[in-house]
Amino acid sequence: MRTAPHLAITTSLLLAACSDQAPPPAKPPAEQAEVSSAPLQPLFSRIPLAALPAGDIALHNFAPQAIAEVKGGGVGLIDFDRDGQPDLYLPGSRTLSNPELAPGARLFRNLGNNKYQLQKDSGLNWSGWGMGVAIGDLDGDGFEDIFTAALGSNAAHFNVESPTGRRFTERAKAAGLDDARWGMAAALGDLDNDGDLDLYVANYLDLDLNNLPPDTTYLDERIFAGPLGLTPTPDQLLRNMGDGTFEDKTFRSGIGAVTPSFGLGATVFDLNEDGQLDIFVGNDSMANFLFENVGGFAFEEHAARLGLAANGDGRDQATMGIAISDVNGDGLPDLFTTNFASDTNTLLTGHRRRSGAMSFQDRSATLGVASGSRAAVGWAALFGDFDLDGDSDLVVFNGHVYPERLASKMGSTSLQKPLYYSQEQGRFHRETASETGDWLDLAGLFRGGVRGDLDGDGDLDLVVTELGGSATVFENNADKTEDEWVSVQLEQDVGDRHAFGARVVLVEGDSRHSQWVQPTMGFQGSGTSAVLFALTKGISNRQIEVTWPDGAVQLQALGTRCGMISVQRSPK
Amino acid sequence: MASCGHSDPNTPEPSPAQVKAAEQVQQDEDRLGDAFRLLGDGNYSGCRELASSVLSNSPAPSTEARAEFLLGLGFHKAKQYADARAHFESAATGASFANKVALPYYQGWCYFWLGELDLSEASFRLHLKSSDEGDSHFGLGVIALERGQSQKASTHLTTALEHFEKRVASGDALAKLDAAKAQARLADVDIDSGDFESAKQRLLLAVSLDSNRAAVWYKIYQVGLELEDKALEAKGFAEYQRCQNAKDQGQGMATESGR
Repeated sequence: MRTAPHLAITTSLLLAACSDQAPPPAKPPAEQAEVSSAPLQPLFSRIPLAALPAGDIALHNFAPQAIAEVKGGGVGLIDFDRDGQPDLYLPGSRTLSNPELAPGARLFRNLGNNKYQLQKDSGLNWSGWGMGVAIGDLDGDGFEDIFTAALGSNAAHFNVESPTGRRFTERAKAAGLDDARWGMAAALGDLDNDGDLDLYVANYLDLDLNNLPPDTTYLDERIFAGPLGLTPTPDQLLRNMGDGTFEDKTFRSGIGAVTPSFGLGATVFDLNEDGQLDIFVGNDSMANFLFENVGGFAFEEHAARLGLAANGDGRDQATMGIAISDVNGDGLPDLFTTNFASDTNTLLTGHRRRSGAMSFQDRSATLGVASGSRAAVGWAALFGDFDLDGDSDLVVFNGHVYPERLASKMGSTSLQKPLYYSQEQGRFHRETASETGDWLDLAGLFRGGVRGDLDGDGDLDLVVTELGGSATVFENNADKTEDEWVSVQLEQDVGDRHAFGARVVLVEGDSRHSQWVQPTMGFQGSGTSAVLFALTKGISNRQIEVTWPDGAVQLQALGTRCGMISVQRSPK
Repeated sequence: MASCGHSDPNTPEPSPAQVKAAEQVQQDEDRLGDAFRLLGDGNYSGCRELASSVLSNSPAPSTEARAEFLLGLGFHKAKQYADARAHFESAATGASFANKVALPYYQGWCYFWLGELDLSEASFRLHLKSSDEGDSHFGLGVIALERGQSQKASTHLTTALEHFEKRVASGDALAKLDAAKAQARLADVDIDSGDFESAKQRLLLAVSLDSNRAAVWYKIYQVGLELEDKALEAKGFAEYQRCQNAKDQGQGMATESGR
């Protein structure tokens, strides 16, 4: 059996930081006063773009000619060499006016200390129009591979050994993953509990780049056509055959029975805790899908019955980003989606009906995430305990699809700032730059986004793409000591090594904090699969409860351990 | 005597320039009346064109303010709230004109749709100072809902409902639509607190007053599911789909107030 580098790091960190020693003594009053008068430490610091080598497209005069130009922005975190440090994958986007500036797919190796280096011999010689990214071990060889949904043929880069180290080779056609329709997003999960990762691809619409549909008019302004008025493309469900090849099961599974819709995002999670992963699909301006897994690789669409098809007024939204968390501490998944301007973002909280069946209720306004988002076109949405205070925070990256003149008519702007919410007394509070730092003043055409602990310091960093290919790393400065957090990486000896869709609960006395292994995140993003919890001081009887994707539950005492740990699946 | 139609000997005869100015004011006001009618017909761009043409003609201060108001309404009804806001604010700082008391009400909704809840609340409160109408109580209720203030929302929405019901009792058929939306928003408060039985009653009252609101039928569907009331669920979903289809086919459906 291979020994994951993560385990090695785990051991060293445990030795260094996680003994039973008491927490550091409180600072004397004088020192506290000094700290409180210090300048505001921003929650996130932007890593200068110089750290990411050139090759990005700059859209100085944002004037998209086609809907294709406003959708790309995928990003992925992949520990391609299993050195324990997440590396950065950008599939590369394009424009119609400057196709020669397309940077192509790129891999930036994480050198540690927030330094990244372009990996020139990565084998990612692909220059498609990249969209969503799904990273996972597609062929079960123990190393993470990359699937990229694209406008044009999708790409599948398999991680292989070479004389110079790990590199990628593109084998989408051989793997049965080269569908040429406009793939917008993708999600991986073991949908039939056979140990390997199956793939859902959310497709968008039919678009011939050589014969673009005529422009339309909105608010008296001429603008590109779509999505309404264009032809939506059916999504695709692919079953992993266990050898790195996939079979299209779209129609046999029941997925193909729905009305084709403008798919923008997808995620896989066990909605009803029945040990079978379900699929949520966000559609643009059409009802969302919830494909309930009924076993035997068969699915039934139940979004409306579950309250997931639309917002609380039954209105279809332009669901872009999808994020899942337990925001109210009831142990059930809650689902947040980002939407278009002149609409609000939506937070649907899960609850049990009298019958015990799951249902979702629109509590966007009640929980404070509605009105502040009306001017924003939201894309990447990411839950996480970013400030490590024990509850779920939320960051949303925004950016319009329309040029400034039209955006302003909508009461909006083309470049938009992120929204950041922390929780106060069970409600989300939108923080300002004066509260959490000037990173909130950075306006852009943001799109994809992921989170993960990039520098191994126990807090969640962010990577965000801007339309046109630029990427920004936001380093988290929460800077807690290692006895204040635990990062849990699940491990099992199958292709679905990190147990996508599993639920991880930190049990601290009577308190339970639930999270899901959800690498599909943000918008078009694939982040790390470790889940991070803040630890409550003074509690020593901690446990980690894992509900594996097939429903098996495993309890592991944590005691006073902290820092990065792995939980290996017990033999069945 | 003035009452006999004779001119007051102490009042000087208007000069030709004054007569011309008065005629111009009247012409502008007439055109603004036409603009208002176009607004009522749903011709928002026509309304804006007329109001703009009046504004380009250096109108009298009160006419200018009214034109700004109508121009703002032309944008507001077209859901171009940023443009509407600018013209509403210009009208608000301008001279007095007939029906200016309604301006803060529209500003309240305009700010609401722009996500400016504080300004929206201030506008509705200003409107209520001069005109105790249910619409602005309703607006305050919706703002409270947006802020997660259920008790406050319930108070404002109940007050709004009382106003609307009085109008219904006095024979104002349109007030039924307003009463329906207030009932539906009160149902939101119930749903939020998990009181699905109360929500059901309010939603059924709402559709008895206005059966063409997709949002209300959708909530009936969801409440039916919560209560495991299969008949309610089926009725809610069927009617929701009917309203959705009607909307898709371009038939006008009731919308939220102020839009």
